[in-house]
Amino acid sequence: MESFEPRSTDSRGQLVAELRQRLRQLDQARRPAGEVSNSTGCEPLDRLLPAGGLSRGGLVEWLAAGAGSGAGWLALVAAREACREHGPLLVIDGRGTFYPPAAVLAGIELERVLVVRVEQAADEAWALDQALRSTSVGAVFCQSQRLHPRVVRRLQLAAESSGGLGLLVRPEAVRQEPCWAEARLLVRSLPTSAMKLVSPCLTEKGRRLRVELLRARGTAGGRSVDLEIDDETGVVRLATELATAAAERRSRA
Amino acid sequence: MLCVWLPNWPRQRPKGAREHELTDREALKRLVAWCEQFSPTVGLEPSPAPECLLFDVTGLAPLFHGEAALTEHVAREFRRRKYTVRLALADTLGAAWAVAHYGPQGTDEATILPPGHGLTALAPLPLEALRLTPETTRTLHELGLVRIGQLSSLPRAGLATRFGAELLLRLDQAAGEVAEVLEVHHPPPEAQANWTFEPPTDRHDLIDWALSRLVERVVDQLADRRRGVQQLECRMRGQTTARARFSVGLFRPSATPRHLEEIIRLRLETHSLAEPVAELELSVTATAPLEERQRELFAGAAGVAAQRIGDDSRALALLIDRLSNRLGREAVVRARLLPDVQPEFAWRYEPAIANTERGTRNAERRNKRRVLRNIEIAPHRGTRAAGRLSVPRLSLSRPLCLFPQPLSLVVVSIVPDGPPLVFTSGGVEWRIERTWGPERIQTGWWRAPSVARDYYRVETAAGQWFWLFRQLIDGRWFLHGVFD
Repeated sequence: MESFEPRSTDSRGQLVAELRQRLRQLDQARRPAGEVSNSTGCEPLDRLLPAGGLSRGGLVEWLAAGAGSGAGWLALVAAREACREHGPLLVIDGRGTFYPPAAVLAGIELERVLVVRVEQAADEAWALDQALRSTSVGAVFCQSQRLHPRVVRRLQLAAESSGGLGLLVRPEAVRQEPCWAEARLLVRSLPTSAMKLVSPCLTEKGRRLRVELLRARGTAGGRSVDLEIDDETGVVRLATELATAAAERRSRA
Repeated sequence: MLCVWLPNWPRQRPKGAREHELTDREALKRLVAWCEQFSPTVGLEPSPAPECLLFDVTGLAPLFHGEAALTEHVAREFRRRKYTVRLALADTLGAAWAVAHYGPQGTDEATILPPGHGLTALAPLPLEALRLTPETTRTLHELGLVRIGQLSSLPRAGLATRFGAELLLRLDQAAGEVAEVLEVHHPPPEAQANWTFEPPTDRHDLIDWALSRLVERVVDQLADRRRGVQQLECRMRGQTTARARFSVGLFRPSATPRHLEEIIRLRLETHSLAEPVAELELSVTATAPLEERQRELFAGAAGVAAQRIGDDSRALALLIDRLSNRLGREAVVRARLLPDVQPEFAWRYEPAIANTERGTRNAERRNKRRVLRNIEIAPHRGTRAAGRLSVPRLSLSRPLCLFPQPLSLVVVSIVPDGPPLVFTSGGVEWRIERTWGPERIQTGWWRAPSVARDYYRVETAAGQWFWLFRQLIDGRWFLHGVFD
């Protein structure tokens, strides 16, 4: 193991970055699946993640800040991208509310979707475990409120062993729990009314979300990105910064 | 032959959550397995819309202490399960059917015709009891013939030339002159093996060991024909009265003992006997040809890719088998969109593992198609009436999470029929900032209950999205979905 020489303060940031890179390499070497990453279907979100996308062989937690926050939609778009190359999508529906027509609108072919309907929490955990252990599934999508941290740990190990990708949509309340997943993202919906005050020309269509990277392997969290979902096409893109620019101009004047 | 008529079967059949997706014929077939406790040979009435179960009870009466006791026992068991039945026991299938449908009315007791009754016992019954086509019956009625007895007095040669072969065939079938084959629903197993424990045991390792021997044996029996197991049944018998039986279906035919064993073991865990197991039996009820695949020794890039796809699809089949057998066939499903305007009926789930029952598969498919067509026709007309497209064009127009039952809401809006302003759900008050709509969804009058709703997509002050609707009939508001 080579040792690191002490450096001057200005190169400290560089050192930290190097160490992070090294940690990430060590972490990935542990996994037999290798470094394969999938796009999230949204370039700004890919840039937020350290691997430049979602790395296979792990879980990604999408924490939803309240009901109707849009976290499920983002996870589903990511699942669509993962399934383009890597087999079918498995939806574990523990709440009995999954609505397939919405998945079609998100651009998913229903022929490549398998829905597993479960009632008991134990069955849900078991089905997730089996699906993540299988090498044939492109992505596993599950909206769940009742996963125990121990179960999540087991699921992460299952995904590591097979190179699968698990997309778990969970409530914000689990933020305090230890994170075993590759990445944990917090999705918060942004009210458009606030935007309208500073920029009256804002488009009336679509919705806005803020995605915050709470934690990811090999990087510090805390960064966030504002996204916009197009109402007509469903395309997720970077939210236009018109409002901020206008505000800045005004403050300068 | 014993005929059990379940009058108006489409109405009286069970309609629980599990039975909901079955056709009427499939639902009746489900009963057959249960009916095997009365007779080993049970079949459905040969008709496109069967309502009768037919039992071959030849030689079985002494086991039940007489024919009267047998019919009484069968009727009691059916009534205990809340079915309305009419029973008749006769020499032939035709006669039993005739008496069950048109025999003495107003009594709950089964009609039993004495052995060797012939056509004379059927003489007072109407002609409809002969299962003739409506055209033939109408012609006979026009000639003033109403009862079966009137036919037997007519010259036989004349009957054939005037009314065709059908009439004579039905008469002879009822009289027993021409044999009528009962299509037994329960097919004999394609492969079978059983193990008797001596003495009976409750040790799991012994049961597991016996199970693997049995699986090897049934796979061996099928190996010559190059067929794999598609569906099999496992029966366990306890020392005294305990019995357990379950059936295992597979996504793709398999002849791999390890795979089969694993799937059976998953189910065995949930079907334990209260007493030591005396006998274990495996019978394969459906098979399919195995897919042959040759491994390439020097595979190129394309070969490797093809091999990977093959491996992946096998792994997927294994996963589906595991999930379906532990959670139930109805739990692992594929979704299929239906062109229906009403959001909760816009799709349907179909089990990933198809029901592999032989013989009637085509009929079932036809039935299903018919049902589908019914569903398709009505909403199309409905959409035209409502002037809307059933398939929404906007990506965000449907929520990812739809409640099976819409939740009732308290809503405040400025205008009586206008968009909502504030709504309360579960004790929480949500202030609405933006609304889209209304999107009117209306079904035709022919659907009962028909719906007429104005849907709104709403954004709350915090930016959360919900899907609400106002019922046009009474103006009540409901929360139907969440844009999670």
